[in-house]
Amino acid sequence: MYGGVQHQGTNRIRTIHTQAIKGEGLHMLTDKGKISETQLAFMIFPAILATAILSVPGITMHYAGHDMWLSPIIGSIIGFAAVAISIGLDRLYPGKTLIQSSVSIAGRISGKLIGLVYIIFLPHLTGLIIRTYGEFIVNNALPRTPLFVVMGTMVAVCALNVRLGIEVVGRTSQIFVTLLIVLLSLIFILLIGELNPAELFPFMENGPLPSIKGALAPAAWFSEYIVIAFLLPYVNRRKRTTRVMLGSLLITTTAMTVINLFCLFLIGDLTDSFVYPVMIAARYITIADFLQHIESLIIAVWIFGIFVKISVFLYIFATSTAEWFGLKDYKPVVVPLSFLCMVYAYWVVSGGSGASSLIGPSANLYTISILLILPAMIYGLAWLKKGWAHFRKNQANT
Amino acid sequence: MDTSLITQQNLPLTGHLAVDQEMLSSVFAGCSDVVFHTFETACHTSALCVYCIGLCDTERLERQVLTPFQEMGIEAAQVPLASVKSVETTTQAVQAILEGEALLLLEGSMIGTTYPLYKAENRSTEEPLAESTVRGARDGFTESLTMNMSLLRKRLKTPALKIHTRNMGDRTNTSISLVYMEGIIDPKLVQEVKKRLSDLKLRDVLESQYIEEGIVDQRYSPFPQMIATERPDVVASNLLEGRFAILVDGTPFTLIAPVTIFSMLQSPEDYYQNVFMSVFVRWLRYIFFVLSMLLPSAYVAITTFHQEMIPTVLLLSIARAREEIPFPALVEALIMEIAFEALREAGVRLPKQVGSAVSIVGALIIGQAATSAGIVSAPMIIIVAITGIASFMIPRYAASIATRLLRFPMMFLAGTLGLTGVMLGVILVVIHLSSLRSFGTPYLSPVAPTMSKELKDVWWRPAPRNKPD
Repeated sequence: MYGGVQHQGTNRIRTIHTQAIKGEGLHMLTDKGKISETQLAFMIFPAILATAILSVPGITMHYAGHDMWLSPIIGSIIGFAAVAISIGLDRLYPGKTLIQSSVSIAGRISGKLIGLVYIIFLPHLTGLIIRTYGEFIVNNALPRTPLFVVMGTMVAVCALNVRLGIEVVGRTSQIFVTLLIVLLSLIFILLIGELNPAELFPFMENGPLPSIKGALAPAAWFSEYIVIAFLLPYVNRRKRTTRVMLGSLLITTTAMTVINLFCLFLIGDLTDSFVYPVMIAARYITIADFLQHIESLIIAVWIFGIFVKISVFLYIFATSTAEWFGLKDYKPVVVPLSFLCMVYAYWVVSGGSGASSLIGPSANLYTISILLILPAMIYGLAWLKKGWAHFRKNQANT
Repeated sequence: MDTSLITQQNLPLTGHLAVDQEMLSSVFAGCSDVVFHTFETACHTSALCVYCIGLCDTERLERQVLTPFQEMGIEAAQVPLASVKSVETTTQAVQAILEGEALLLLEGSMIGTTYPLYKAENRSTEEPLAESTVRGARDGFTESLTMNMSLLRKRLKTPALKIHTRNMGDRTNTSISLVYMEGIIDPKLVQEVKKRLSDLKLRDVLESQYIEEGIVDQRYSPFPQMIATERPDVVASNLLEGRFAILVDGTPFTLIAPVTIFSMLQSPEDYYQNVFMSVFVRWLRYIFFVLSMLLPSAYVAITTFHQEMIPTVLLLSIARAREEIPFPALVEALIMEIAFEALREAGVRLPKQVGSAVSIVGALIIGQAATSAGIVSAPMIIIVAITGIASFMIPRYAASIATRLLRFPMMFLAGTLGLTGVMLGVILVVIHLSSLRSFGTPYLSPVAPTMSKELKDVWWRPAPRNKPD
């Protein structure tokens, strides 16, 4: 298709890019589209926060008490590590996603095995996100609608979005995240009058340990920053990547801390007794004693965020699978994989306990080990390999 | 059979008057408006003049061509007329006659001469009916291509304004012109449009919509990918912004592309008035654009699923109004929206004198009687009325079609899944808009993908561009 004025640059970069990759034969990207760094940042923001906003305040309150607002800040170290690993891998193996570079790093068989871990893990994670969405909507907005309908409609919409390519995913996230940020900020501003900052004290009552313990859950969410490693090859104009990604990390951390602070200032100690504390906080909003109970509005806005989150993970799942099998195009696998994620949404939760019980410490460790520790090992291996090659070269010279 | 043979074979003119007349009259057999006029010139050569009565100015033909030939005996090329052309084949001759030129053949000459004696029988420029304005130019395009081109040229007095004219449609042979400003437009865009126009094989072109449907990127979209306008100042302003226009003979509606959703919601009048007013109106349009699509569905969703959102006092009055209504909100909304669309369509079709009757019927019967009969609640009427006004606020008629059509699926989503459904609908629309392109330009630009320079034209109205130093 013809690209307009503003796309000439993109097209040129794309041509150069494909030429660079052609030499490698197998490692073609499965999507021809390109996004900008800002669009990537827009995609990541809800990819972390959309579900974190529901669960993180409650969990951190449970472990850290009044210091719960410190936990996201501590947890963001994990996010920093994930960003560093992603950008580092991209520098060593430019134009390759994590699935592709792990083959180059660890060799064909073990590299494919690492890829397999992700292909097994991603539907797990995506299914859990879909389940969280479904349960949240059924509990708060549509109590009599079957879970299947709620989840199915959303997955269908996301699958359509993903099928249209990374450019469309990038643009939709840009639109929705802008709306989301504006409306949520507005809601938080309306709440300022209700805040009780005295809840902050006693500060560090039991030393720093509780807030570090509480940081495990935010850390699990921050480890999702590894999605950058899957998406960086699709980014054009790569001048400020590091700066934009660190800026994104800063904004996400701030947002998470602010959400925690609001819950603390509004609900105080009771925060961990609610499944969705933010929804309780939203009930405090009254505008001129006239507009009340605008939780439904918050749910409506939140749907935009969860839509972006599911789309991002579905996209990564689809492209990773296509790359793993060596397909040229990821589009044909989107619909079957979306269906698989739907099925996983039922499999991840056993019995009637609901998704919230699943987000315990062990689940957090599981997420962190696959989204952070495994990539860290790959990155370490890549450096070892590079060092070894350097060492061999030096020996050969002397 | 014979006719098509001659036109297709493109036979050369023979120079024997009798033979040529035979050929031409067999082509024009059954066309009583084509006149064959044989006469003898002052130099005693027999001559044949062929023209089409309605298209050719007979008075000028007599005065400027026939009389000089019959009385003074001049050469064919000496007639004092601008753009005299010579034709050598029957096809060219037929073409010229159909375009309103007079063809003159002389015995012994294998070259015919055509004189452009078009009769300018057009309505004069009037204020466009569909796009009226408070301040700004009041002339509108007419059905004549030449006149429309002159209206544009009057506004853009520069050789950079390029006009490429070609004929399209095998049967209608309609002239269409591609217009753009050289140096402002992206040359690749011009190439692409020319390519799409040549690839387009049409049998008939009666209106610009025929062309539009053939060359847009995505035919199956409720959102227009080209602006159709009757106003020369709209076209001029868009040409200056690097867009191109396609003028079609026989219709005042000119196509402009590439467009974005934001250009649909902007109007050149924004530049004709005070900055703050323009910015205010722009934001009003954005809000009402969204309302015109979502208001009925939001009402349905909130009254059906989320009553707690409505303030208690308001909820009581809505409940009181809805007490006697036998239908669920969704059905009520559907009835009213469909009735409104029907009234609107009827109002457009009817002659002006009867048109007012429709509005009386609409206001009295539907509005007043339906409420008192307990079929529709008063709040619903308010919602439908606001939605209607909202859809009239969109400056481009074609863009309001999209919201009018999408309103109905949105209402169904609202009636089944509440606000969640409405949001899913919004997401679907945004996905569609994100994937849509108008001649390569993403439909949601400059917002997504972001182009920071042009962004100011979305949330503010920048000052008219100054001359660069």
